[in-house]
Amino acid sequence: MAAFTISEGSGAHRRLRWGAGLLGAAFLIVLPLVIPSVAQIETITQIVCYSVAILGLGLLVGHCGQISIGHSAFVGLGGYTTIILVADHNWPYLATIPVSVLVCLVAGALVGIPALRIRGLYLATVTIAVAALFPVLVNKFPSFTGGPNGKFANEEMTAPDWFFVNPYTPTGPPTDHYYAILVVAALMFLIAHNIVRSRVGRAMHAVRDAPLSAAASGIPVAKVKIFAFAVSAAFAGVAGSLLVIQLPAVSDTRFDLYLSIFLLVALIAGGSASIAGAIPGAIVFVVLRTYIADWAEGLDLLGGRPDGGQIVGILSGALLIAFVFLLPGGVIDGLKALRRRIVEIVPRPPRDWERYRFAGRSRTDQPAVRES
Amino acid sequence: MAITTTDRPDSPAGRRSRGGDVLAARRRRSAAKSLGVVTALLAAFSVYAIIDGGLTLYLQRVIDGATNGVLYGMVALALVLVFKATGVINFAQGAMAMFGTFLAFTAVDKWAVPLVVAILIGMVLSAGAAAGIERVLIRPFDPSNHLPIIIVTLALYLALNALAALLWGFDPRGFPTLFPTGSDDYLSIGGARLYYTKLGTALVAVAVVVALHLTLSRSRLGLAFRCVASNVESSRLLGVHIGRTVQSSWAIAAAVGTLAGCLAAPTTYLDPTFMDKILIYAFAAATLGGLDSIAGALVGGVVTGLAIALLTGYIPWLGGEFALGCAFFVIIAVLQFKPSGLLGRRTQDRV
Amino acid sequence: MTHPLLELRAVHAFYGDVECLHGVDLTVADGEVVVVLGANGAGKTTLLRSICQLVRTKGQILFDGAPIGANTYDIVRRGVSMVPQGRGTLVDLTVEDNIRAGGYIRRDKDVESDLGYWYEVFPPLAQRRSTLAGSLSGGEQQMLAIARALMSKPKLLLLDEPSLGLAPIVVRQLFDVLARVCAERAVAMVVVEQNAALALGMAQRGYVLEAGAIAVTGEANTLRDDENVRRAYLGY
Repeated sequence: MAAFTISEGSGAHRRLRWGAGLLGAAFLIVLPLVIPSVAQIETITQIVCYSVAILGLGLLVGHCGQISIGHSAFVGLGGYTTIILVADHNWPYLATIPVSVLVCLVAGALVGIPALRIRGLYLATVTIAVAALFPVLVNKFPSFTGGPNGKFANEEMTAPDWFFVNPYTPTGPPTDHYYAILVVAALMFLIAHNIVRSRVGRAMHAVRDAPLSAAASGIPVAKVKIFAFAVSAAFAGVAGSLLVIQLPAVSDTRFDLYLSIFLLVALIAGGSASIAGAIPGAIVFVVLRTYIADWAEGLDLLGGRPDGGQIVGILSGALLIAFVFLLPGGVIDGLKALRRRIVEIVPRPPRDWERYRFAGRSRTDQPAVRES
Repeated sequence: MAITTTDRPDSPAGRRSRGGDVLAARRRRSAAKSLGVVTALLAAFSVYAIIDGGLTLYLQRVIDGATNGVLYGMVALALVLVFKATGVINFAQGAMAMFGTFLAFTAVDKWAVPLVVAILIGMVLSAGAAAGIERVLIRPFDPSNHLPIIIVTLALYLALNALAALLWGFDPRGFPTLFPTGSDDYLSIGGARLYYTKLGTALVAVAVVVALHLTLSRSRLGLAFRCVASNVESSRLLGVHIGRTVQSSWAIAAAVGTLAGCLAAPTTYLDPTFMDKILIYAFAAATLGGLDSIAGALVGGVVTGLAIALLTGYIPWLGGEFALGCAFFVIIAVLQFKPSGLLGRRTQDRV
Repeated sequence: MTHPLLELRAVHAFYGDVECLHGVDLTVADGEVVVVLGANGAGKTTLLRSICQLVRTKGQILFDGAPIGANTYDIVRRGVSMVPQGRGTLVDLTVEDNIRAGGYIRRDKDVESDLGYWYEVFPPLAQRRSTLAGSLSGGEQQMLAIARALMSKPKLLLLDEPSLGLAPIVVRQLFDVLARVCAERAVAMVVVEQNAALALGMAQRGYVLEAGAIAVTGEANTLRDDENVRRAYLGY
């Protein structure tokens, strides 16, 4: 039972939300300043980057009910767009993000268009082909992409002079990157939040929960699916650009099928139907791919042979199954249940509800027939 | 007293019985038409190919494509079995086949059993494992909610691949073949070589398809399987043990997959990822076949195999690695015109 | 002591956590036809589904004097057959395969001759034996459903709204055949029906369900004359 009960939309509820929001923002802003190690700042930055990709995947999987195993390709597309524009055309890093969005919107729509005629699981098989195809395409055009050697930008992104972080300390540049990425990511979260609460968002939910009824209510199901796919791809593209800002180097192996699957693992772990779930999801993602991999490498199970990846694979598989079985709503659902222990937020009744209170009681003279 | 329907005007019995088969006839016609279009496209391309590179080269590529395609068709068959029983695509089908193939390999390598026995051991073990997986990881979920089941199959894909890598490592290994492999062991068809390994593989695959088709249409298990695929609740009321039926289709699918793996391994070498590509081609094949037809899976496999061999063979720009892309575009193209595949039936959902 | 064919003692049924039947008692004797009436949502379908254990139940259900068991496939093997609401046609199978599927639990050799019997009873099915069942008309699908359900040679047939969506004249013919076949084979029936007049006409006894509990029970004739029942279900 909750210790406190607050009604939704009341002053206390508003204060709670603003308070929690400001606290979170303050935490994220101060975080890099109190961490002394470059590697840890980079890890946190990666978490922020991947959270945007997971957020985008969540829009598609959690909110529209479509599954994509091809998002690694869109992350890669965004990443390559940024690195090509920066390295070959001397664009500033941040200016490439809108281009990434555009490129991925178009690519996402192109992949999503088969959804006009393809139902259900066929789309999943198409996306897996996309994921497998992307590294091949990268190697097909080495003059653009650097092929198997990858591509690098010579200069990292630098902050303007007025910025408060001193760039001449070791942690300076990564902190700069962190702030830039954080701002973009926050913007993306805001956009996602608004999409979900909008008319299109409700249409997406309808398509997810009951596609036929949605179609019968006049929702253009195919268009909504394509929209969801394209927007989701655009989020993934932004994540790719952000990853390049964090580390200005890309190669084809960074965006393989495994990335797609790990994004899905992270999404499910974080909570697929929740915007905020992308954050714990990204933490799971990065911890699995870096810390656990290092730890497993250290175990030396195979007598000298590298085994980090394998342990991570088995663990991720087990983790995924555990989450689907035990906590289908992901970490965020667990956190919410925890919060409900402390503060219960009860929904506010509709305005003027008392006026309609007696509207339902007209049939009192039909004892035997009961509508349920 | 007999009963006649009165909700439609009486008609002569002959016309009625023909009229009653409208649905089936339409399906046959549409399947024939789409197969005709595919054949015509292949034929047109063949003319270009023969003029471009000569008959022998062309025949060689057709033979290679078709024999590879038969393998894709076998894996597609496994996908279709699971799809019909559970309603999802098993993304771990390839990984399960890979694991089964490694088990067969271990049986040959470590215990020195004859290859045929080893393959059978691999098939039985993977069938048992698949039955267990279905019972423990798939059955608890509401079958109408696909997302968690797909996620579980993806998790299995990750875990099985990693486990195989942990147990057997990434070094590719040669896998023995059932058929003579000498450099002279081939049939010559117009100068092109049809090696006995390829021929044997194709024959085994065709035999599997025929056997499965007969099982499905004649046996009690087949009847139960078709009932479950059609309507789970009705089947339950007919006394069909749903769980056991679904479980046996997972088991059969895994065994067929392992057999396909054992047949493919001699040419591709055996490592934990060797089925990944084949699985994607099998997706293409199953999608082409319409995901619900046994014969469609095989036809889809052969079409995919031919398309890849001919496209990558004759359009140099596509060459080699881009086969994946070809598979992808073939799927998209076919689905644009035939959303339920070449041989699949159109389904209708009700609100 | 002789026991009834089917006996429900204080049966509760649940969809998830929601209780839909609140302690229903019901008996069916050998060869008896029992009709269950009730408004939409009263729990009629749930009652049939709980006999087949398609929903979670509490309480005792006895069949042939022994607990009915927890698994639908065993219940069917013991001689209970159900025609679900909406007929449960196996739309992707041919008409013949549908009827064969009805005899799935049988392993005797008479399946073929029984197939012939049903084609005789329902000639329209014989004409369309190799058609996909999904293309049959509603009336034909109902015939198919009845043939399929009786192929398993049940002792008890559960029918959920067999008249749903059918023209009145088809319904009457269907009920005639049903009554005749069940009398011939001594099959007991529980019929859930909206067409109360017709159902009470063929039944020996009836139950009226209201909000998940039995409100009225009695001989079919008595129910027909009961004023409340008449006003609520017979509409005159």
